[in-house]
Formats: sequence, C-alpha cells, structure tokens
Amino acid sequence: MHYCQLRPFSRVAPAALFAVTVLVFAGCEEPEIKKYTAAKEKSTVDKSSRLAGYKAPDDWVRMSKVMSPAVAGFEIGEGKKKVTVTLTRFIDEGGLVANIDRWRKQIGLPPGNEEQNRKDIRYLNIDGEKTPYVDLANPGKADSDRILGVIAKPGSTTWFFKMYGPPDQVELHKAAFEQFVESVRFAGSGANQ
Amino acid sequence: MNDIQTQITEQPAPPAPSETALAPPSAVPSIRKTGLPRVLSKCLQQLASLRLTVVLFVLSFVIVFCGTLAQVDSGIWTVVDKYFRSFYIWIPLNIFFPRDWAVRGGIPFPGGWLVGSLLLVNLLAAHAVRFKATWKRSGIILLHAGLIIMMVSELVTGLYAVEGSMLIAEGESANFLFHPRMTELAIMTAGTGETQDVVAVPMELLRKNGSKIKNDVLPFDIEVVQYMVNSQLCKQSRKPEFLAPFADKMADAPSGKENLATAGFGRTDYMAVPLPEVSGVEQNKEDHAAAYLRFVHKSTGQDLGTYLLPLILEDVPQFVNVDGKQYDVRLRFKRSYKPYAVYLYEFKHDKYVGTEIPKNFSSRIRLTDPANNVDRETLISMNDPFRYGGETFYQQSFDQIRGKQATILQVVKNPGWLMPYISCVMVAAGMMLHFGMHLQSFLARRTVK
Repeated sequence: MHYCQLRPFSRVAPAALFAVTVLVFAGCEEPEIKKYTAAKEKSTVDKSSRLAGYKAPDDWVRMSKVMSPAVAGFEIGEGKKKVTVTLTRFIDEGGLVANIDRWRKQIGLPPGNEEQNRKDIRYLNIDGEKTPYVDLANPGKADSDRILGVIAKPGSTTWFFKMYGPPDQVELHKAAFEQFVESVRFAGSGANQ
Repeated sequence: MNDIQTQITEQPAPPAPSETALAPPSAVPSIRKTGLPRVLSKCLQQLASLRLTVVLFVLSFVIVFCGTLAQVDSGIWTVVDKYFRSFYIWIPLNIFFPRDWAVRGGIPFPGGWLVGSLLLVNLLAAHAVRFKATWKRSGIILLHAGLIIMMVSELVTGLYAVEGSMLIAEGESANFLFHPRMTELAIMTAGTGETQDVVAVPMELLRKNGSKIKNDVLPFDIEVVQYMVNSQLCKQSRKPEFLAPFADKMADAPSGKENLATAGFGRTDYMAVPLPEVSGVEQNKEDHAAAYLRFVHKSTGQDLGTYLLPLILEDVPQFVNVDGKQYDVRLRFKRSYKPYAVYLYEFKHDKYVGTEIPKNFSSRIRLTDPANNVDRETLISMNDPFRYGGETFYQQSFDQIRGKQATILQVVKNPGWLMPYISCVMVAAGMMLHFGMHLQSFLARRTVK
C-alpha cells in the first residue's frame, strides 16, 4: 500500500549534515580579552570592619588570647597594677547610651539616664572623625575598675576600644591610651582606600 | 553522475536495541535506488550500517558510564564539558579503581559530540539509502525525525545556551549577569567618576599556569603563577583586627608553605591553598577559585607584584600602580552586560502562616530597555518566569547586599529550548502512528481468520 516511493532523505541528509557542521563552527567561540565601559563598581564590603593601622606604646604587651568577642588586647603591668586594653568589633552594637550603661554596670554603677550618659561623653579625633569617649569610675566601691571607653562607628561596623584596671593605674596610662586610640586608622577611610 | 543507480542488498542486521530495530522486519527493506553518485552512495551505505548503530550505542553507554565514574573526582559541569560536549576524551584509568591505588595512564576515546554526530550521520544515511517514504513507515520516519531534532537540540544547547544570574538589591538596578561556573580577571580604572573602563580576561586564559598574557588593551602584562579551580583561603599570622571579621573562622596558613604573593592582601593577610575541584557527588559545596598573578610593566618589564586574587574576596579591591595610574584588580564571576536594566521594587519571601516553611518567593521588577522603547513592570515568582528578548528570568534565590534584601534571578537564553518539546511530541506521535497501524492490521487479520 505504497502511496509514494520518494526518498526524501537522500538529498536532505547531506544538506542536514552540512547545516550541523556550520552550526558547530558558528557556535565555537574563542576566549578573548574584552574591554568595555561600565558603571562604577559598588562595593558590598564593609570596609570599616578592619583596621588599617595603629601605634601601640612599646610597654604594652599583646595578649596571646583574648576573650570573644574582643579581637585583640594588650596588658600593661602585672598583678594588682595590671591594666588591660581590648579592641572589639560589632555589627549591631545597640547604641551609644546602652553601651555606656553596660560599662557602668561592669564597675557597679547604676544605669545612668540618657542625659547623664551624654554629659559624660567627651570626644577624641580618630581617623578624622569626632568619636565619643567616656571615663567611668565608681569611687563608692573601693575595688572597682575604672574604664576608659571609645565607641567608633566608621561604617556599619562599630569598634570599641576599652582600657580598664585599678583607677590609679588607669590614670597613669590614660594619656597613652588616648594617643593609641587617636593613632587608629580604619581600612575604609579615605587615606587607606 | 546522478543517473547512476545502485541496487545493493542490505546485510542482515544484528539484533540490537537501536531505533531502527523498532521497525518490524518488513520495514528494513533492501537498499533502494538513491539517485546519488556511486561513491557517495557507497559511503552512505557504509554509514547506514546497523552494525555501526550498535557500536555507537555501545560507545555511548561507555561514555555515560565513565562520565558517571568521573564525577567522583570532578564537578558535574567539568564532566559534562569533558566527556559529553567534546569530540575526544582522554579517560584516566584511575576512575575505574580505588583512588588510593593511584593507577596511572588513560585511554583515548571518542567524546559525546563525536558519537552523537556519528549517530546522526548513521540515522540520516539510513534514511537516505534504506528507508522510503511510505505511509506504512510514516510512524518510523516521524519518530526518527524527532530523534534527530533531539540530538540537534543538545548540540544547540551545548553551543548556544547561556545561563547566568542577576543579583539585584531592593531599590537598585542591575544590567549584567554573572556566570557562576566561570571566572574572569577584571582590571578596572580606579577613580571617582560614575563609570570606569574595564578589561576582562577570561578564565580560559588564566587556567594555564606559567602562561604569559599580553594584549594591547591590558595596562600591564600578566603572568599566571598559579590558578586554582578550588581553594581554601587561610589567614596568615597577621593580627585579626587587620583582617575581615570572617577571617576568625579561617584556618591558619600551613607552616612552611611559600607565600607566592608579594603585594596586596596576599602578602600579609591571606594565603590560598589549592583544593580538588568539588565533585559531582558532593552536596551543597562549591568551588572557590583563586589565582596568584604576577603583573609586569609592559615596556620596562618591571615586576609590579604578585597578587593573590581569591574569588571569595572579589568585593575587596586591590590596587596596582602603573605610570601614576591606579588599577583595581579582582578575580570575579564572569559577567555579561545587557542592553536593558532590571530594577527591583520588592522581594517577598512568603511563609505558611505560623511556620518557617517557605510558601513562595517573588520579585516585583521593572525592566527598561531604552533602545527598544520597553518599560515593563512584572512579578516573577517560583514556576512563573518572565520572558523577554529570547531570555527567560526565573526566581532563583535571594541574598543580602549592603544591608538590603536582594533577589537572585536566573536568566537563561537557549535558542533550542523548544526543540526537546517538539522532539518528544514527534517521537510520541511517531510511536502511536507506527504501533497503531500494526495494531490495526493485526486486528484486521484476526477478523479475517
């Protein structure tokens, strides 16, 4: 029951093979170096998340281990005269006043009201930015530490620089601490791009 | 010579699970008059051999078997490219043995494309010299045409299909795709302008260790010291406050290992250690490419430093100074820029009430293509992609960038996307037609009896 006796593929086959060969060669692309102009790259990196440099006094001894979340620390002196400096970074730090309250609690002071906490704040110049700095002591409690604390927020990361120890020893090293903090440079600052 | 006609009897076909064997004995007729030159006709007769079909099928099975074994060591896409989308393969013998036997050597073998092409030739040749277009065999012809389209569609997909992803933060636009299976070295002019010149060096050129890359558009010459398809980024003994926060979780650099970097963050902060490519059998792992590249001044030959460029730190710029100009260098996923931009209004991650079980992911976007006067808003959600300009946008994933919610759209362009559908319909219709006719004649014979 043959309706036709055509051999349609006898002529189509070579043409089809030729088409496939052309397809293969047209699709083979040699890798090449390209040049173009594009919108300036937006960085997704928080450059404030790391330090570019600082100058610590020679008599500060770097701690081999620090308790998390601190990333680095120094010790000055020994025994009862020991003063400690820590460097800590946080993404979400909870706010300036809340952190001052946290430090007040550490030395046995009651939480201060916002007005009081803000009154305690002085400022240091760190990497070109006016940066909050507090000096907290509890004279009513003989064995309590004194805390010098700096809260720097150069980007979305907040850095805490803290010196704590016996009040008289902290007083001795206060100037060195302020110099140290003012020597800090952040990786994202203009000078360190 | 077209009038020379041949009449050659078909040799008995060996029993084989080929498509042509689907036809009953009556459908494997003697070779017919082809109306082709004798030489071409003889060639076609050889190429149309059913023995060749069987051999090619066996070769296909071997390739699939070896490609499956090779995924123990290599990534799935490496295997696809090496075994299936190639004309020639070198099959290492160690894939057949436990890896700690360290068996050396290998065997050459035809690649998937070569075997596929020969199967295509075999099928076309069979139709050219053996099959005749009759109503009785229309089912077989339709079925085989479907198979041909299927084979060609894989070729078209392998050669022309492009897959990429678009990462867009809420309230921002993107006009490029990144290709997660490919890397490139981007050399960008540093500065404060809105735009920057970019020179992109493709991965294929970077993967040859020791090679020197010179090109007029490059601001300096490049020497590939080491390219790693996969690597582990380690921290050097640098103080943690100088490293990114995620470095806390990094392993320390192995002691005694020479640091190849002489500039950038690789000199002091990080070190990359080569790792084997993530294999096709490992779940939820991905390769982290890295490269040590040495940059050399074009005219003076001055060493500008060897930099570590890890993909994982593609967002951290490193700068190379040449003749007072600063260039930002990064290893990143390959990019393709588009003539259109996609703006993301909102990404939504719906959950079933009272649970954390995802219900739906969707992105409300606006696509603008000034050259074609297109400005469209649409919602892309799971199983409801958006098509534009031959590309299909699927909701793929989501992320956070710069503290903002971001969507990841998969963008696929495949000129042959319809071919598998057409092929399947043709094969199904061909089988129904073929077996339907046989059923009909069987029933007719039974009625006569």
